[in-house]
Amino acid sequence: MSPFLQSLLLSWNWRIEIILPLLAAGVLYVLGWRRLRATTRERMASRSGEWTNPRPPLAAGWKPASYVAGLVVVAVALMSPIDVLGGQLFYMHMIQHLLLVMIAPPLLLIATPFPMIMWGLPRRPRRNVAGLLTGDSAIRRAITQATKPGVVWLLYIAVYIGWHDPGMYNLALRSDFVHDLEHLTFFGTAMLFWWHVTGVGPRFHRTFNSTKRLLYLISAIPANMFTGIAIAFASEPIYEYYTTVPRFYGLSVLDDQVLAGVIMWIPGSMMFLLAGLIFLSRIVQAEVDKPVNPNPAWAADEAKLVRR
Amino acid sequence: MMPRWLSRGMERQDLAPGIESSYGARALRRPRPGWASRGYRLVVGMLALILLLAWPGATALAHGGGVAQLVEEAAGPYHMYAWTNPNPARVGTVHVTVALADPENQAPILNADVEVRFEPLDLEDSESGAETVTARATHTEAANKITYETDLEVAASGRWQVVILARSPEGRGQSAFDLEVRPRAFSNWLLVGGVGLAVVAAGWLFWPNKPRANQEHTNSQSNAHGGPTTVRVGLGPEDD
Repeated sequence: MSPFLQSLLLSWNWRIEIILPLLAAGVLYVLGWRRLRATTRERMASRSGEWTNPRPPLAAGWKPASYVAGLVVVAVALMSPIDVLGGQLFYMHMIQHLLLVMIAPPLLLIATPFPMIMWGLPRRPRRNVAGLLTGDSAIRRAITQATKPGVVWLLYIAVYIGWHDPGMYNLALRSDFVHDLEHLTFFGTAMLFWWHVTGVGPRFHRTFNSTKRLLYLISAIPANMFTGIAIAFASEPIYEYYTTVPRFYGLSVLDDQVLAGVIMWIPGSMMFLLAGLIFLSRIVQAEVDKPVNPNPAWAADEAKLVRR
Repeated sequence: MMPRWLSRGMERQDLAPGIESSYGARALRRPRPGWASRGYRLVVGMLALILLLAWPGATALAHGGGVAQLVEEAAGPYHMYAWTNPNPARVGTVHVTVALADPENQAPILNADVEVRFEPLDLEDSESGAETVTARATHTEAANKITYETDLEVAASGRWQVVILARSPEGRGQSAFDLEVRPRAFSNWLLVGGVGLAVVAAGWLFWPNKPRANQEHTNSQSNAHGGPTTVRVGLGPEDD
C-alpha cells in the first residue's frame, strides 16, 4: 500500500465527546430493546400459554441493527477520514453532511428510538422524563409548538441553506467550535425533519398520512437541488477556504466544487425521492387493499329491486 | 387521565391478533432490582468522569484547520502550507498544522522532519521573560496523517514570529510568518456549557420525585406496581 493511501486510511479523529454520547445512546437502546422484547414474550406466554410470535413488532430484530447502523454512520461522518479530509476536499465535506442529514436520521428513527431508550432508562429518570412529556406540562406544550411540521420544515431548509452561505461555511472551516455547531444543527434539524416523515414517537402532533408525508418530503427537494446546482455550476470557487489548502488529491478547486455540487444535487435529492417512493407505494397499496364489491351487477340492479 | 396522544398509540398497538399491547405500563410495573439502579448510577458516574477528564485533552488535539498562514509558500524543495488554531491566537496553547507538497506535482511530502519555532518579536509585556518556544510537528499528533501538527505553549501576548523548518531527503526548507497573540481569555464555553448541562440533567434525572397527592386512580394504580404509565410515550400506530 502506498504511504499516501496508508496515511489517508489512518486519518481518524477519535473524539471522546462524540464517542461517549453515541455509546450511551447505543447502550440505552439495546437495554430497552432487550427489556421490551423480554416483557412482550412474557406477556404473550401468560396470555396464550405459548409464544407464537417470536418477533414482536416493536422489538423486532432488525431495529437494533438499523439503530446501530445509524450510530455507526454518525461516527463515520464525524471521526473517520471523511471528516478529516473534509477540511481539504469540499466534496468529502459534502459527503459528510449527506451522511449526517440524509442517511443517519432515517436509520435511527425507523428503529423507534424513543420508546426503546425510555425502556432502557432506570425507573427514576424514566419517570422524570415521562413527567415532562405527559399531561399538560409547559415543556411539552413548548416542544409541541416549536416542533410543528411547518416550523421544522422551515428550520431544516434555513439551516441547510444558511450554512452554505460562503461566510458561514468559511467560518465553520476555520473554527472547530463553529464547525461542530454546524454539524450539530444539521443533524438536529434533520432528525426533527425525518421525525415528522417517519411518524415515530414521541407523538406530539397529528401523524401525517402517506400522502402528506410524500408532499412534505417532496417540498424539501427544490431547496436541496437548487443549492446543489448553484454550487456545481459556479464559475469561480465559492468557498475561499478551499483555495488555501494543498491540492494533494489531483482535483482542482473548481473540479472539487463541481463534484460537491453534483453530490448535493443528485444523491442528496435521491434520498428524498427514495423515501417518497416508499410512501407512494404505501398509497398505491392502500388503494389496492380496499375491499372490492364482490358483485357490482348486484349492487346496481338488485339494489334497485330492494328499494322497490 | 392519560392524554389522548398517548392512548391513541396504545389502542392500535397490537402484538398479535386480538391481544392489545400495553408495553409501557407493563414495563413500568415490573419492579427493578436495586442493583440495576446502582449499576446505572455507576455507569453514568463513570461516563461523566471520563468525559470530564478526557474532554480538555480531546479539544487540545482538535484536528488541523484554522487560519491559513502560509499558502503554497516556496520553501526550499517544498511548497509549504501552515495553519494556526485558535483564531485569534491567545496566550496558552496554539495549535500549528503544517503540510508540505512537491512543487512539481503537488504530491504530499510525508517523510519530513518538521520543527515549529515561536520567536518573540514585539511582546506587550516586555518583562514577561517569554522565550523562544520550539516543538516538533509530527503525523502522530495530527488527525490528518498527511499533515504535521503540534501544540505550543505561548507564554505572553504580543507579536511573535513563527518559523517552520522542514528537512527530508529532498532537502531543507524554511518559511516564517508573524502571528499576533492576544491575552489569555477563557473561550471554552462549549465545554462549560456541556458539563453544566450534563450535571443539571443528571441531577434532575436522578432526583427522587414525590408521588402527587391528587394523583388519579389510573396513575396510582400503576405506581403501586412500581412505575408510571408514561413509558407509553411514543408507542403508536407506526410501530406495528
